[in-house]
Amino acid sequence: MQLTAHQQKMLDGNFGPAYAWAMKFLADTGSVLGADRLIPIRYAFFMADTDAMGEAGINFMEELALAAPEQRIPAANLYLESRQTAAELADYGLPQWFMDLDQRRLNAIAKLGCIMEYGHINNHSIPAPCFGESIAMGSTPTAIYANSALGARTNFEAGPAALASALAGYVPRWGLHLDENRVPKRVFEVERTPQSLAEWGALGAAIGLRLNNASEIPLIKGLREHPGALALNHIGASLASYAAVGLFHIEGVTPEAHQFNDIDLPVERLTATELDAVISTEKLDGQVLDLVVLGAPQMGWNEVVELAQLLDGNQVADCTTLLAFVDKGSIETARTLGLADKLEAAGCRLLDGIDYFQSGSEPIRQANGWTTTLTASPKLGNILNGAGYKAAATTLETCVASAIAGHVIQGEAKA
Amino acid sequence: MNKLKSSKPGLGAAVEGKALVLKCAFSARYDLDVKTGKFLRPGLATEDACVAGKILIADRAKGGVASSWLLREMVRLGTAPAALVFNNAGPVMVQAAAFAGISLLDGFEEDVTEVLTQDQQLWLDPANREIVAE
Repeated sequence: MQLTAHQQKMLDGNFGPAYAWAMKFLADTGSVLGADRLIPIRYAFFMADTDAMGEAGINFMEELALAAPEQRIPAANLYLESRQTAAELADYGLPQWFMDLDQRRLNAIAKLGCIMEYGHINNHSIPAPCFGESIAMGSTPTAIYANSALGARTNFEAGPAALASALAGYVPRWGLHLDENRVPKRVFEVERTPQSLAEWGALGAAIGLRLNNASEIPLIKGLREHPGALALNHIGASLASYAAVGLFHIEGVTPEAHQFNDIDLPVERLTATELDAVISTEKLDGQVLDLVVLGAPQMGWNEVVELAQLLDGNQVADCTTLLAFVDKGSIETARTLGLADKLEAAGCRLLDGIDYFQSGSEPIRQANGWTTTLTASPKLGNILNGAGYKAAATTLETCVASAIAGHVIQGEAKA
Repeated sequence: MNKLKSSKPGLGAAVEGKALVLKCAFSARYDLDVKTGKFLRPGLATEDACVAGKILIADRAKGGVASSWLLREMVRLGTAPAALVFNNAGPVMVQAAAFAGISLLDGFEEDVTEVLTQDQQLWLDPANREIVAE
């Protein structure tokens, strides 16, 4: 991979150890991944939660932050995807050592010049990239959303990759930065247009289960209505979780799809039965329900309103815990309008913090003896099944009905 | 002795170890107990299979942008695999291996999950893009 004279000086350590680490990381990984050169970026989006980083990752950040201030100024804006862990989780057995690590993490990241502002999570409005702009997104759902819904260009710049990109101000030019890698390799015709966010997530999961590798960019056809931003977010989160794919196109919806109207690929039918299979509670049917956890991606305002309507006049069963992860602005609005009081009186806990699977979900499971879990997010269901839970994804309606009943209720198939 | 050559550059130092072969995709985030190196997700490997010190062979990496942090933590805890071999590693796993300092090789003509066998002794040489199997 070609480096400019400036980049070579960075690699050689002329600007200090933090920049040298960043440039070595970009050069090593860029070479293996087939990049020909580095391209400048305006900002990077850093995924670094306590659950994943552990002691080693936080030690690394603290060591990097020991550099003199002038030797750790990011060349690009650095934003953090992974905000604080909800303090209320201490009530559910999250150990103090985890919260201590969390504070060390946030302190170290702030010292590296990260903009500790979380308004960009979920709605992606701050700082929205424009069509065709190369960026470095480290959060799975945000990266695939930026590529697909906005037409920006990013690979999954996982964990320290986004940090290296922000410090150096460049990202390796390969993968989804290049036109030829954004062309669909598979075409799916959808039999049924999803009607809930859980179903939109199921659509992403069902396609992800069909894909063989991350280069098989899907083009989705046959939707009868525009999904909207939240649904695009859920499709992307599930697609990335099940198949590690970083881009999807939807005919008539996403900005690059029209380029592939005449693409010569076989059309594969995606059946309604496949969607129903992803959001089925059949394997847990009738079991005592320990936990319902909502929000991955975090719940938007309209989901909070729907949740309040579903719980209205009801009470979550004593044997079940209902946690809803919501952004701070929506929680404050819910408090202003009295919805938060109603939800909490019904037994629903609203939490302002990073997603549950990044919040010490394993020690919390052990502290409470929880196993059987429902969620409205196929992505979260997939992750929790790899973390000792027996989890299933289903609609918000079935999640709430099961939480009220205290056991898993089978949702109605719509095929 | 059987020699496999990769068409792509690899990462890290030469490594020797026993193969742990998965017939499927692999995620450090979604499948593993970082503290023990054992599999939390049922059905991926035999019960009690542990990646610590092994050369992990899998078809491809699947989702999990947290893999970089998790593999580095596994190195600290002594539960990390000695090396990673894939048919198609994918960018997240390349970044994770580079950050954790774990050797990695992918991009073979053969299906590595078919030609390499469980507990086979392997010599991995990323600089020369090759694996030698006992």
